[in-house]
Amino acid sequence: MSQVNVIIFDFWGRGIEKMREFVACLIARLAVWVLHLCGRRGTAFPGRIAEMLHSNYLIDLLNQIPLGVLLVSGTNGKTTTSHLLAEIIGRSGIEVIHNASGSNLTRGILSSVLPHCDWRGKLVVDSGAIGVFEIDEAALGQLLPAMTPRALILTNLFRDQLDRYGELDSIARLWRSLLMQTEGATRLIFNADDPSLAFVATGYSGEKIPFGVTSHNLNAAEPDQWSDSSLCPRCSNPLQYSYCSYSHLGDFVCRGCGFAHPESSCIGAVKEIQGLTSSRFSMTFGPESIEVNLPLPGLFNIYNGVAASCAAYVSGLGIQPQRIMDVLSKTSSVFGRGEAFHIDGKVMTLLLIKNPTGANEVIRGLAGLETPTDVMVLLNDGVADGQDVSWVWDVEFSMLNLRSITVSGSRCADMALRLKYAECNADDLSYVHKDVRNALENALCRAREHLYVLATYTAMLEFRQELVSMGIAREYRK
Amino acid sequence: MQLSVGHLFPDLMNIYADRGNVECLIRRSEWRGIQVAIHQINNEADLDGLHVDLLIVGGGQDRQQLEASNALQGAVGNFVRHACENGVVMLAVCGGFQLMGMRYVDADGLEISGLGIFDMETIHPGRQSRRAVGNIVVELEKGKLVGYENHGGQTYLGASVDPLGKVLVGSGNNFVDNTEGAKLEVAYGTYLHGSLLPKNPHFADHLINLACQRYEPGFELSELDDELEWCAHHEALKISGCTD
Ligand SMILES: [Zn+2]
Repeated sequence: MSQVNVIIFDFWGRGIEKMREFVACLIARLAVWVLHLCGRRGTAFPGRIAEMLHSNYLIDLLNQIPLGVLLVSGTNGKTTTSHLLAEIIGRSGIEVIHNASGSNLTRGILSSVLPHCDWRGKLVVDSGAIGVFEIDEAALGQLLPAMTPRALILTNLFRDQLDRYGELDSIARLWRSLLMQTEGATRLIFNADDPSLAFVATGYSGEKIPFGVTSHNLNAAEPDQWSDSSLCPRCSNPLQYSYCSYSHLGDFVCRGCGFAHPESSCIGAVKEIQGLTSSRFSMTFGPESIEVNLPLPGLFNIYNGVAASCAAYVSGLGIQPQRIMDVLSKTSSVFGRGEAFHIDGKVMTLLLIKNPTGANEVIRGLAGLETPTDVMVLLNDGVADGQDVSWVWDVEFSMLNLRSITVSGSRCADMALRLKYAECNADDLSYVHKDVRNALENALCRAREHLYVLATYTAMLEFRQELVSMGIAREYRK
Repeated sequence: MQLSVGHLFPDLMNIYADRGNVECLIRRSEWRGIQVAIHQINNEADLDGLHVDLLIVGGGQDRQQLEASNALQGAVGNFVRHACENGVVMLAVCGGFQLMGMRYVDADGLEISGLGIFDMETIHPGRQSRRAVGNIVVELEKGKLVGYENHGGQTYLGASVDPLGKVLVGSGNNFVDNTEGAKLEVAYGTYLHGSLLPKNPHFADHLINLACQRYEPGFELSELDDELEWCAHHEALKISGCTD
């Protein structure tokens, strides 16, 4: 091919590329606008359209973000961690592009970037803008080989929707191989208390920043026998724990091969956990130390707070610990994750439960309350919930001290059965309703002051939408 | 009456909510005034003189399954084999079921030897191959079983063992012959978790009854109020597009 031909071909090729970008963006933006008119936001639909028309469009856009991208992945805590991180950075005067709705497949991320594009499909942001995105554990494989994030934050790995993700080990294997293939220009910020993640990190040659939480006075020395990874990820001998914060998170060592908890560079020390409302902890970043009053429920949110703080501090954005402390102390719950509503003079707290570990932590919080609780559980078996509902048998509902219980969702019969065998106030189990509005009215009627609603992902979305149509909740927008 | 239940490798083989099956055996016995003692059976357990009426083993991840299979080569394996020879009732689910066959070839082609209770072998065709995942309905001689299956391994039964039932919806042992599980006298193997026993109270009671018969031939289980159990059973049938 002659020189001239190459130039023409290249020009033609780029022309087509530009045209596709333009069309993809135009149609997707039209979809954003139509959905907006219909009062629906935060869906992945526009992103899906743009992705269909131009498969590399997301990577193109992400690479245009001036300060790069921070990715958050892991089984639990992605949404809260990325929310806290976006908030810390945003309050420091930096423009943040963020998938706040928790839509975390590539099309969801694309949907959140599209509003920052002009009509030609080019990104229009501050010269100092940064991206903060949560990404599904399995979808990480679509981004990592094609781009170099500024940092990757890994929160934890628990058994989760085995029908969708497969075994825990297979996600760890995928991540390890992804990281081994990268050039090492990304900062890897990971939960050092998680043996699987500590092992994933051993395969990475770039900069690594382990974080952890100490809570010596709060919990058992050993993970219980049902926890996920009691075996050494390197040699399969049983791991020994000097303490365990929850599930398999803690200070571990393998007597077989010596594989052990890496030394954390950012440590949160738990001072107090106040039921399902807030907690107090201190955090050290090298020489500096801060005290945080976090208005979010449970130990798992301390991990999220520490992960976000650590990422904000080490990301080279000049964010001071004092700023981190201020933002964390004033934050509020994210979409469906401890969100509180007021209705008929009562308070209702919506708590997402997705897998045994997360659900058990919520149950532990509820069990720690002084008075018997009024609880509603919504169990769905949509693709996003996991179609296999057997995981509810790994949740210790028997720990609940109940006043009333109401059950709904597409698999309410399975849920009711689970509660029967947990021997939770068996006579109250007649309150099983397929219809969620019905269930809510019934549960509210019976609740004394505070109703706790535990819902799987799609059930949480449906329930929240129901609250919006009842005028109790507002449409989530960010 | 007191039943003694041996729970095999509760620390390794517990991935698909297998504790639900154990909890179900305990509750359904206790609700009838039958006491249940659970004994953990693994390398650390003192098996000398331990008597069990029923053995139960669940599913595990590949790595855990390999550990369990190593343990089965020693004292634990002898204990289980001896129990089966003496007519102890057994329920083996998913990975635990695979371990009760002659051999299991895992996703990396590694051959793991099984305990050989059931004349069968399981081959995992590799990580890239299709898994059997989804809701499953199985027809028994009397009634149906509902549950969820999720396995990479394909199991083929030999001549000296019967399938537990016939697959109506789902995959079962393999993608070829419509068989599900295995049955040899009072030993049962199945791919159904989800959780099997609570949603199939007839099958749970069948196992409890068999265990009780070891004490008191002719013993009759009293009736329980199983409205919620059958409700969940029928919902599961409906989800799979089956009627009763
Ligand atoms: Zn080791």
